[in-house]
Amino acid sequence: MKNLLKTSILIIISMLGLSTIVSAQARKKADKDTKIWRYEIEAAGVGTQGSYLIKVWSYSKKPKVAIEQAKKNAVHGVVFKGFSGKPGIPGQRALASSPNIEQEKQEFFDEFFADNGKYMKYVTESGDGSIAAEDRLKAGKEYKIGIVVSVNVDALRKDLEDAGVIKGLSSGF
Amino acid sequence: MKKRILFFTLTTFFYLNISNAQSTLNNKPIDSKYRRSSLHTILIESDRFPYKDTVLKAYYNAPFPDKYNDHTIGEKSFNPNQYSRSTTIKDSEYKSIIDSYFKENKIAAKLVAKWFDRKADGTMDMDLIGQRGLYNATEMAAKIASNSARGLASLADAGEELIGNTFVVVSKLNFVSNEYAAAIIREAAYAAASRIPYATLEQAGRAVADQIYEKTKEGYSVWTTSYLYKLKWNDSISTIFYTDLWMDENTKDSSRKSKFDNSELFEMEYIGSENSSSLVTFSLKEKRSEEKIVEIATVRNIDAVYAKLQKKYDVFKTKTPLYTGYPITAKIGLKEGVMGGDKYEVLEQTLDADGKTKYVRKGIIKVNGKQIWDNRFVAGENEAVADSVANNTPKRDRTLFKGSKNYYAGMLIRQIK
Repeated sequence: MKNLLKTSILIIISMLGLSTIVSAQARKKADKDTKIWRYEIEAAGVGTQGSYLIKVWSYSKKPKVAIEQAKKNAVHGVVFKGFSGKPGIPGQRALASSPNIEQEKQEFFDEFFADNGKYMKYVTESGDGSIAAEDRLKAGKEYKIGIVVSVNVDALRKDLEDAGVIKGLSSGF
Repeated sequence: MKKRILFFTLTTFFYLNISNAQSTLNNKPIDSKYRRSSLHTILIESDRFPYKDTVLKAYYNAPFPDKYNDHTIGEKSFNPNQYSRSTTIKDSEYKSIIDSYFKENKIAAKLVAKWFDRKADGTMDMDLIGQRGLYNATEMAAKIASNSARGLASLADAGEELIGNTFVVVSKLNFVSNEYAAAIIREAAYAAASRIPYATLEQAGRAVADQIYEKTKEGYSVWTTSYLYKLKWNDSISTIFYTDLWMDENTKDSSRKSKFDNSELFEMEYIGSENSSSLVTFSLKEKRSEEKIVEIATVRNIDAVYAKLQKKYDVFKTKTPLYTGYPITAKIGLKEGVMGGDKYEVLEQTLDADGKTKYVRKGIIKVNGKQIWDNRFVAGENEAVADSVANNTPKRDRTLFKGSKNYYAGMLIRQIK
């Protein structure tokens, strides 16, 4: 009887543990996706002075992870990818002149994009925490989730320039 | 005991691993964006109305539901005989009568004029469109807009999207006194009683029949036919309107005024018709006068019309994403006409094997009547003001639903009842 109780408790603890491991793995996978640029970024509006208003689509088996990863992907996208415009909303080029900078300054960016890393300073979620129904898509076992964020691009550019990671706008003139 | 423990373990296991059974909706695409509709309602008058003045008064004064923008453009009733050649009108003729009424009274142009606040001198403005755009905006849209360069002004512009959701509901009421039915029933009872061989029992039977008659003769049964029309508004109409007819205080032009007055550009589009009925009888609580019964019957039928419209036409069904999956909450409330017990289906957007997106039903949830959000304030305004007006209820920022635990933020909910 006692053995059965112990076995049951053990099974439940194992399942909860497994769930935590799965979540951690999902986060790890999301970070990997960011590094291989597996996310989409599009203009969502004309941001306030010095900011971009963008929608970022992130992928994960866990919707929560995709939502959390949105901010990281947004900053990553502004630095390395840029985005095309829409009628009335201009597109923007990436802050980094070359995508190779990510490898060249790997140490810097690993720290910059770590969980709760410096990237958080430049990005805020733009909505009220809701996800629009059309921005939540289940594709097979994975979720594709779109979140609108605001990126303080002026501050981001300045800090990356000060850190010597990207060149200033006036350099070369 | 062993069985219980095993049952508990297995239940926990299944709870963590098994998802809800899914049912796929038909392939009809769903527009996940909800836009408030604007309504103008019209009653077809009839000399056969009991207490005609009471009916008309009740119709004019009936409360307008919060769910819709009140787009009343003056008169709310008309006499069909003015638009018909025959003195006795057949049911099949009403549609053409309504069409004639719309055309002769330029109802479509009046609806457009109301949207653009058109004044006697022909000048227009965008104030109402702006107000309705802001009122229609979700909290999410308002927050996103506030982070954009144009701020909330972009929401005001979005009000223009609502013009295409302008509807006119024309109702035809047919009152039938319950006395007719009660008399028929009494006659049948008399006939049955007359076959009883004993005089005392026959008298008792007749007395019961009289009692039933007295109780059921009061009141009316009302049949309503509602004809739904939509204002035609699309890109080409909008372009002609702004190019040829629009003028404001700074661009006054008598030729444009005249063009608008004589324009055939605006039209109504017939959507469909619905039948509903209601029965108003005597009340155990109060002695109702005939007039009171007629008034109740009229208002009750107007409500039945709104309910039917909502049930049949997707455009009137409230849609919004879930804000949280557990507890189940959404950012809709009194502004969308949410009421306790209202049912919503929960849908998840899914990519199928062919690469097409479709919505899959995950279940049904019900509004918790005790926790409905009073969101009847304009986007960007202080909601505390609206909350304080609403009888000092605790401040809420979302409506709570009852349902299972297998729902997640972002799933679409759509009203079904």
